[in-house]
Amino acid sequence: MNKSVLFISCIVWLLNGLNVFAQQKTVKGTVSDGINNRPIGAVTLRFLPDGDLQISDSLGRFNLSKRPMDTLLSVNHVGYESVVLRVVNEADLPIKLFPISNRLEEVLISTGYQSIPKERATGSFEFIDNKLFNRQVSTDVISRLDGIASSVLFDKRKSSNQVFSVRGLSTLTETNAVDRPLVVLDNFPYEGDLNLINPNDIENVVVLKDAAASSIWGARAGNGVLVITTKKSKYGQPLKVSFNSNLTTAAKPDLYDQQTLSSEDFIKIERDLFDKKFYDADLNNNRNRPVISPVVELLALARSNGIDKETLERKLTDLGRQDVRKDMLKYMYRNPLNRQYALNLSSGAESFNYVIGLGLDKNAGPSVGNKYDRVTLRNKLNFKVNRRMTAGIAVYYTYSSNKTNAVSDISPGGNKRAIYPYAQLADAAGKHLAIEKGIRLNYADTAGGGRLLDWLYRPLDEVGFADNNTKEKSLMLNFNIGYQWLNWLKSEIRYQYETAETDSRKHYGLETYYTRDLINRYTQVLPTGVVYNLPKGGILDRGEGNMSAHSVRLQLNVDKGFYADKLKVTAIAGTEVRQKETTQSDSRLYGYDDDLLTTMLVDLTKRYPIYGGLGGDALIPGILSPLSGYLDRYVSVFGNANLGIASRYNISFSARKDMSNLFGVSSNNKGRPLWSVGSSWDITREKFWKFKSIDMLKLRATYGLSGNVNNSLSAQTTLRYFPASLGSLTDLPYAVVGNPPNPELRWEKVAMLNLGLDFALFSNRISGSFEYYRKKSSDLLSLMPADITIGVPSLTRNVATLANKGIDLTLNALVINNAFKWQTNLLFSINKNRVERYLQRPRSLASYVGGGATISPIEGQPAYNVISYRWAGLDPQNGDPIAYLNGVPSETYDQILRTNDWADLVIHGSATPQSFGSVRNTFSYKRLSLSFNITGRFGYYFRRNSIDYYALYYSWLSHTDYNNRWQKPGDELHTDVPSADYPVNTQRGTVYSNSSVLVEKGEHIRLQDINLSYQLTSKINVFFYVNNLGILWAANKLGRDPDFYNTLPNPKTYSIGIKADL
Amino acid sequence: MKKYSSMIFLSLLIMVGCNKFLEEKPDRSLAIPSSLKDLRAILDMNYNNLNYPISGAMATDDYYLSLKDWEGISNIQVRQNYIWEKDDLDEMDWRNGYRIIFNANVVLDHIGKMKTDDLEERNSIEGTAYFFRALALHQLCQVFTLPGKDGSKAEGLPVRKSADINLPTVRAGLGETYQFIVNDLQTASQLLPKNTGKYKTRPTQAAAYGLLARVYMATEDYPNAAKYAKFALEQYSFLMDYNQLDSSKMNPFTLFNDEVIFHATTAYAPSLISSICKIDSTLFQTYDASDQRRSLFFGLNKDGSHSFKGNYHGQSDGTLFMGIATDEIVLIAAEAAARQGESAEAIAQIEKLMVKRYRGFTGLNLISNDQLLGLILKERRKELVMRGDLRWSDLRRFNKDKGDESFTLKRFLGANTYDLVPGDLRYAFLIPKSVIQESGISQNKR
Repeated sequence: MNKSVLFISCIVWLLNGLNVFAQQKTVKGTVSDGINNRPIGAVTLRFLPDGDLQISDSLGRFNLSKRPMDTLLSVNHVGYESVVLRVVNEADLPIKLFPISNRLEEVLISTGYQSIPKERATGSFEFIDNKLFNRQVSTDVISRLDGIASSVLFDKRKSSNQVFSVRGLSTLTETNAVDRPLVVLDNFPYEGDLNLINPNDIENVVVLKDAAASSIWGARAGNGVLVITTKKSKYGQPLKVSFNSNLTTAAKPDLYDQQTLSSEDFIKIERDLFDKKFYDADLNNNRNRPVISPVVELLALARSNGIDKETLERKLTDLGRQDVRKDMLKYMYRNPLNRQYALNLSSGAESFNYVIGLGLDKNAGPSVGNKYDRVTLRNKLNFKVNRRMTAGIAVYYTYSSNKTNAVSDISPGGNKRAIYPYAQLADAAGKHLAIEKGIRLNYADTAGGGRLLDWLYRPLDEVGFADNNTKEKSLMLNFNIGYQWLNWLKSEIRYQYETAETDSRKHYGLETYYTRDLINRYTQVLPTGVVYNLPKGGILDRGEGNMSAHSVRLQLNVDKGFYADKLKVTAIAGTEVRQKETTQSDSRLYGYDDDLLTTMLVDLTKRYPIYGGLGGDALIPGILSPLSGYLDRYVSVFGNANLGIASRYNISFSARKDMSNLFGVSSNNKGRPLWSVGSSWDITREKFWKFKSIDMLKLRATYGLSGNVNNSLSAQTTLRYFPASLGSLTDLPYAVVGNPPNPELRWEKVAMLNLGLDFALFSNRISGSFEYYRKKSSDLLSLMPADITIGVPSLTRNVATLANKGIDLTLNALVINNAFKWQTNLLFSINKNRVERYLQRPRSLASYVGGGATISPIEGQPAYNVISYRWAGLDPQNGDPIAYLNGVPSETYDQILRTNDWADLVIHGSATPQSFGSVRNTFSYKRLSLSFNITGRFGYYFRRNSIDYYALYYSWLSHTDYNNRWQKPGDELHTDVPSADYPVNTQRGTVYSNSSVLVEKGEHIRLQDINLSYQLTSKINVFFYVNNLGILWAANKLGRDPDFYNTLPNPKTYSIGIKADL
Repeated sequence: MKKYSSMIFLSLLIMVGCNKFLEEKPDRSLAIPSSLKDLRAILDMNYNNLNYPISGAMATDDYYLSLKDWEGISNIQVRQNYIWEKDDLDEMDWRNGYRIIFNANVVLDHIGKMKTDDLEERNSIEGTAYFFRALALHQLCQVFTLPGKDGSKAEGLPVRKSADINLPTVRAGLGETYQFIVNDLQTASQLLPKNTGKYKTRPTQAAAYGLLARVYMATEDYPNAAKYAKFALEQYSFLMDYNQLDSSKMNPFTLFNDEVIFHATTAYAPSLISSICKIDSTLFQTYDASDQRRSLFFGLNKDGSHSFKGNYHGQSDGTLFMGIATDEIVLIAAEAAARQGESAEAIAQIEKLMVKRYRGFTGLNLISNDQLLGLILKERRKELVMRGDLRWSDLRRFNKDKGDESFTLKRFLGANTYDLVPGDLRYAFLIPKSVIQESGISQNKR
């Protein structure tokens, strides 16, 4: 390692000593049209800044005299794009000019280390240009990639819309973001919050999919790499101003889509349970005072003759007419409004250019009380210091504020996970009403005889009381110097400093329920007076997170042609040092007064009695883990070379070695060399190629290694320190012994083979690519069985293997190309993964049963699996669910839950789509353009929720399947919902909830979005955009969206916007 | 030129600093055991005081469950334990016990390498590690080996002397296992400090002597039990006066109360939470009206049965106090003396306890030696009810064969009755299947 650094330093040193003397000579050449190769006459040529003017003749020929200091040749012609060429020693100079606007855009793909023309690439790149990127409307960058990038799959099982994978899963570790693709912003990995990047600052996005493309990123590239490139300016470009603004709104969430029982049904169940004395224990509980629903309170009152039967019935009928969703929609939700404004200025003179980007986002979310604001400022300045040297400086500043004052959950807490459906949040006059929360309402109402703080919970009041805000500030400074030693040799130094500060504040004022409740619990009402063990004031929780990252890179670029460019060498080599440090501190203050900024002290070590004996003596809650700090360091050397031979063969190599501060591994073992090779062949450029209608046919093949980094493990006996915490026996800090020593610890390795075919037909009317890949991840960290006698339950070792294979297909067709244009873009990907080696096996196979939300590897199966108890219908006698035990139908639920026989289980298949794709059609006529995207996801399964009687009775979680339950013999012929049992057998419920009858196919096709745009003038474009339009077809026959089966679907969003380029 | 020399300087800097640069640890809260402070922090982890085997306590005759409550327990192994089912146990006890042994071994593996001037702290740490290792192994023996005496040829447990995971797991003989425990405790007693510090989670010399007495009781070595009980009491002998305690409290005893010499509790058992765990009614009847324990230990349930609230860690949360407390040591001293015919000593000890437990206790009448032992055993039964697995340990002692003190345990669930007869092989629970699979050690017989 040290040697390679030294080597590179030496080269830099040597070059410095070189002196290039040149004598005056002449440069001859021809200028021709880049498209049809015809010579262009009357082209103006001139060496900058003060050379003589030359005009090419009718055959495009020119003859220039060149002084030693002349290196930059400016070439201009009407109707063609101007170019500035660097000329050093060439005697014969062919120059190609491209017509303005007609030019076939040469796509430059940025890998973060270099930009390479797409036609020379051997690897697999997915290029998303600015136009496609801006087709969607969003506040963030990542979610825009959904449905427009082949092989990029978004995981809809996660609540975040930014979780995606590139070509499937490469690791079995789900923590510490080990399974996430690397995101590169311009030249360096982006370490901050992805939400802080303004999409209006983005020029294009490149997905690096195979080893040849991504292995330059080495040990962090195993999951694919996303390179985000920001907008640039050019030298000699007149001022461009572009303005972009849009407004987005949406419907309120469709709460009525929740599959919950109506108030009437719910009351019926409560009455039934009340008659069975189900609530008696809670009603008589004078210790914890658990919450009691209003219906049960009324029934209890009636039983003790507090009210007569008539009043009871009348009141219950009234409650039955209530629906809490009505109040929630009225008071807690609104139509969101997201406003986005962006202004970009770019300009360039002879020796400098700049871009300034300003962005403002103001989002008022669907929940009343939530607000997100973001301001971004980006400034990029490049200048030529002299003939050889360029320098650049960029600043990117973002500020965001996220107010989360909405009441997100009005469930009473404890074991009650939902509110009763007939809850009322406000009366007819709009007065905010109290609902059950934490402790029984009729106890909380009167406890303390007026000497406690108000103990009632009025959710609608809380919106006004809440004072939660998370502010993020991020600053990136980027500085680079480039030096052109020779016309083919350039060196670069890049340095980037990134810092981000997150300041979260949760202020629970004295009026908030949280504070009132906590203070009341720690209050004692004695004959002598009221003792407040918790100060009567607000509570302030603060969190402060800091991240800072430094990156330095030294790089040499070689770009040289030999034998009249028959052989082209493009190569880079360099070294890089990176460091990322994060710290987090959290604190809580009691007795906080927001006006005076005063606080009061509490004794966190003392146990205090809890009011009314609602609990045992307890400590005052503090912050569990107040401080943490992490440091990641990397040192890397890298090199990459591409040989282009006769403009039709390309061979690429890359190699990289990364080393990091993996804890407790000797330096030699910290690194792992990673490499790739690749080649491509464009057959159409062969002389023997005769098929004129085929414009391009390129074969590509690559193979290489990349890796996954997990710095959270260690090779030696390590201790993890913990501070004394709440509930600790003592006030001492303590240490936990981590995994036993593992001298063999190393990074995970991902090997990938990629075969590709790129094609273009009929003058590029049809183009596309087809790729096949195999990916094998080995040395994956995973658990392996251990004899627990050694003192640890399991060992984490580099022992698992995971294989992926798949296909990516892209097809673009310009179907009609008249005044009316019809463009179709099709993307289709298949990705199948199999766990090939995994050593840990559970005690019983039944523990594999689940919905595939987390990885539970089984050899020979996908990593995320839906596995169920085999369903055998309902018992015709009593409606009990029947599953299998040892291969025969059984109702012995406790045994079924411990089965060790595969015959009792059903492996449905993958919980994530194994194939997916989209078809985007764009129709344009004159100034009008309409585009819509249809997406599909196939080959996966999901488990739907159903009625769980335990959850219904104890947690108030209801499900409309209750209405279809088995009630009498014969019902089993048309329903699979078990009968309601009482008392509840939880094991019976668990078997049903996890049975194969509740698993559905996830396959579906949806109309994702529509974009309608109109070119008002040559510079102003207005558009209308609708997203989340809905399902066109779904394999499940229940008429619901499989990606949101058990939750609420994303409401349709509507945007209007304007783009102006001045 | 100057511009580029900075670049060269930078790369040289990287080259030189490279190794050092990568030595920095990635997580500030991580450490490699390298100081006494680190080793102390390992031992201060609450885990070492909280997770002692519970299977024995769940199998005693101190309590019963109603059929409905028994069926309501979701953990199958807990249910099976209650009726001494032959099926294997949850891994929890084995895992917890050997985890504590592992922690202690990490400390013992490293303590030799520590250079320090603070010899007192060094000794205290080493003694603490020996103590924890012995305590965990002794409690494991109560669950996984058949009752037997020191020197027995019966099968004992794997004795792990180092944290090295490559050491094979083999079962030592029972005698060898107990000898190992005793050796650890002898060493610990020489190293541990005499006086109780601020923390009762850290063992003292008195705790080591007390535990030695407990171990000798379990192996029926009464002379040694008497000897070490006496040593312990010489260090610390305070007994709380139950006449002064408030029985109206939900938990009349507090954490780290004055009788506690060393604090430790068992792991959690769903069958022992106070809402379903009901005290054996015959046992409850043996507490007469003048016995303060009747109201301090037990709460009245709605159905007329009684729940236990006398835990010495101030909670009724499904875990049981099983640390070393003065009352247990006094009872050991009394019983061991009585069994050796030293009536005067026995009476002196038991009176010391009884005067703090009964209202208006004035002393014992003259009684026969047999009666005395009977009385002491009765007091032991009443005082140490639900005290970790001490009752289970006693049952093993009495019922290891069909001797005079032996009897059959019974469980009733609905119409079913379950028996555990003296000498039953089920006095040793089965070793978890995974351990047998991974290590190849022999399973307990059935």
